[in-house]
Amino acid sequence: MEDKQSLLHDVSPSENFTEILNCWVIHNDLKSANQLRSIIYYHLKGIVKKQIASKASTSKLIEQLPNTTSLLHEVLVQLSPPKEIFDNREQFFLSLASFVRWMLLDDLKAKNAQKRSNQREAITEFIPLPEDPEPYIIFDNALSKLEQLAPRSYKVALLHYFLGYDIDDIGIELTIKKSTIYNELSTAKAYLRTQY
Amino acid sequence: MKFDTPLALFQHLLSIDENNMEANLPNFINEKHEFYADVTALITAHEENKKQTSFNELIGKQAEQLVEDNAIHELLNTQVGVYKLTKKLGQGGMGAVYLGERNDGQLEQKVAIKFVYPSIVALAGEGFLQKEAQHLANLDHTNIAKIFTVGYTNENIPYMLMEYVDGTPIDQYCEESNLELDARLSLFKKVCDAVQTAHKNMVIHADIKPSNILVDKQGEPKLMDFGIAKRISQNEVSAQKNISAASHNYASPEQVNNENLTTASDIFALGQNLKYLSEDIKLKPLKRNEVQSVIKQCLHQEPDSRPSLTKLMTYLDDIKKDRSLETYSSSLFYTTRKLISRYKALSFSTMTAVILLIAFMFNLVNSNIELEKQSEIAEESLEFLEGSLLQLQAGDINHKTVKELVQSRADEIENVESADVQAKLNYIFGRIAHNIDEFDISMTLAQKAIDFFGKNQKYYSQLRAMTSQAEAIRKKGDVNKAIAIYKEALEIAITHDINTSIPTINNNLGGIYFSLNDYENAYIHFLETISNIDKLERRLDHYGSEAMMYQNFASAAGQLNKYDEAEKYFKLAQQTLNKSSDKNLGQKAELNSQLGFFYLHQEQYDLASEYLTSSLRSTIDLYGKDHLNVAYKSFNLAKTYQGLKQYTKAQPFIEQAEKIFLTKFGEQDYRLAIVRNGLADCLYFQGQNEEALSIIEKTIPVLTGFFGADHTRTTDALESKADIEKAIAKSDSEV
Repeated sequence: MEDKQSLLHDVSPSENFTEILNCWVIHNDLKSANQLRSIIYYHLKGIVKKQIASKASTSKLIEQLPNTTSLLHEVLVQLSPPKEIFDNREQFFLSLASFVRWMLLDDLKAKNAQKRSNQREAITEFIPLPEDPEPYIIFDNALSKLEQLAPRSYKVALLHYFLGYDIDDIGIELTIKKSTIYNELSTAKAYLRTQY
Repeated sequence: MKFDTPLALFQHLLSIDENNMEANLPNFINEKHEFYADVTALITAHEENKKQTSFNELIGKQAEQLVEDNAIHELLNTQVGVYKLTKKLGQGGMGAVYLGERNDGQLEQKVAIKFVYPSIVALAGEGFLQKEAQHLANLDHTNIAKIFTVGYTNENIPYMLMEYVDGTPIDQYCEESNLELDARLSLFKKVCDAVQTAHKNMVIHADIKPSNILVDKQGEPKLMDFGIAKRISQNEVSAQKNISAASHNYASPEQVNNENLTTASDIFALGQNLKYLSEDIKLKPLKRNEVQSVIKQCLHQEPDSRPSLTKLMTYLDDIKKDRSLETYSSSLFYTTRKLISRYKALSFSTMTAVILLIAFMFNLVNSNIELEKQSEIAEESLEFLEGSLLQLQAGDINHKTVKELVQSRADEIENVESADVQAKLNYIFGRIAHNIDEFDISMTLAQKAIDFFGKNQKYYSQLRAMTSQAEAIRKKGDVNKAIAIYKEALEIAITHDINTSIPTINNNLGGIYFSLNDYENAYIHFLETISNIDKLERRLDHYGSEAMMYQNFASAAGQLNKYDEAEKYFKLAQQTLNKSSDKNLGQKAELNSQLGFFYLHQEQYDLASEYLTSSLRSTIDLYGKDHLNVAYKSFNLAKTYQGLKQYTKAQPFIEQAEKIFLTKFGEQDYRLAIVRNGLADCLYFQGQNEEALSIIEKTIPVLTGFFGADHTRTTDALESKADIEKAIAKSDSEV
């Protein structure tokens, strides 16, 4: 397993805050990267379930997992100094969402690298390995492009996909009108879809 | 307007008019524009997205790569220690379970090997699995699947080695074996017992559901999968708190909301399980209600309001043994009943409350409740009213007002829509009227009920109404008519197999004969009663009724000098009465009195005095020291002491009786005369001859007048007088 710490320095340090966040997460309380991974895994699983459930016509409260958007938040909020969260609320959540996005991608890359290095031992060197564009990587690349093309759209998408926020939640965090959020999110989705 | 990118244009179109983007596009650019293709693509994508997007799932799938959970689903045929994983037994939110068969040549052994998702293990932190396994290993109970040990595979995947249970889920088992309620409850109680052990060891199961309760080949239920068992501790890290793989409907509100779990959460799940297990078997309405009320308590939203396991298990016993449940009736009914029985007499205001309750029930009845529920309500209200009004003492309340109230309500019955409910209400009000001694009203209402039920072949109800009518007629004095009605009722009961009514009717018939001093016939019918006592329907104070029937039989037997039989059944009555959860003080006092009188009759004075003393005390407590009942009992007790030749002791009791009889009946009453004779005897044996004489001179004229000069009582009194005079003469001469 690759050392998380070394990879951290590749993170785009958009905010000083992001570094602090990472610092706390990795160094201070969560003893293993596995634990962090598990948290994020359940967090994302929860989002997916919530989305699926809300699409179903009869979705009983009981059939949904509890609001796991708060799972990640809760863990990290307990670790981060409160002052920081309060002052930079929007930043906090965007950083959090970025972190999740990053973690997914990073993990995927690491595993792919592992696979490739394993495979290299088995086959001869001069046969070039095809570059398999994994769907998820395509998706992530598209996100990066969206970030450049339409920053506000990107932010909305970030909160939606990686923190599981719905339109109401996003409105609270980003202080934009609901109609605007709908617009931004639809734009992001349309764009992402066209990248496939 | 200039747009830097196709995306920007798309976004703008979206903001103007989502539904007409394609139509509006030409307003901004034409087909040849470099953006055109891209914007169209975006519009199409948007349309597609409205149907569904799959990005969340994509992310979700990717997230699965973060953890190596899937690995545990691929362990079939691998080796774990000395066991080979030969079969996958199941999987759930927490992991997967395999059947492990020992293949080291030593023993043949089957175990269950459970793998918890690595993500969960990681999430819960270091040492989690070890600690959990330790707690579970501490649970030593027949009905809990045992944990043997915890280990790690070569790939560092953690597992637990557990007892293998070859069984069927409890719901399936109950259905396949066609189990009746009692059998199901027995199984269920074992599960509760297991859960209690877990709780005592600070372990909450948190996922009790039928598939986690396997019944093995020996018919023992085994509680499995303490997979998300949690220590009852306030100090756990929040990460653990958030693990919630709990399966849908068995999860308590606090579980769904991810709040702290307590033992009460297990109670909730048990309630759901009980509901599930009792849903599709046929039960009598009364029994169904009892089960439902227990379930309801368990499913209370507030964890604190749910019963404890001990209580729950007691309830289960009660349902099985048909004891009345604390929770059975609606709280209004039962609390009120208890309230009323605390007071010796009903105050008028309480009575008004009772009548208002009736009015309330009317409203209920006239609203849109299904017929069956209406009938149930009617049944309940009857029992309530009967119970409360039996406490009524004539003269304690403003009788006239109550009568008017009852009458007016009774008149309104005709306005009730359903004829069936009407009939029931007629019956109920018939009973109420009876209890306030309005026998004419009672008879009329009963007749209406009888007519309806008879016509509609509702024999059971008809019989009850006939009983009510017969009682009213009897109280009015027409004993023969009452007997006739009862005999007719008996025939109906036998013809139509309404077995539950047979003991009751016989009991009442026996009572009539007894009051007519026809002890032979009384005995016959009381015997029929107790022979059929097992057919008696279990109503709320079942033991009280049963005991009364034994008492009646014993009394009749005693009158016919069948002493052994009488004693046996008096004792049985005592035992039965003690089983009742109601105090039944009045009845106990009566029973003691009967026993006392019985022993007195056989001149077993010691025993007699014991029972009569106790009975007298209770009677005074219940009715006050000036009540007529007290007089009779005092007198009997006095006679006992006289039998023991303890005249000094006897005297105060006779005087007590004398005082009451004098007040109630006046100087010329025969009962007073009889008591005074007793007093005379008392005084005579203490040597107070003059006083004795003066008393007996008062009694003789009364006795002669009432009984006649030849009656034994009169002649006995005359003899006593003679003895006293002799004694006086003798002492005079000695002086």
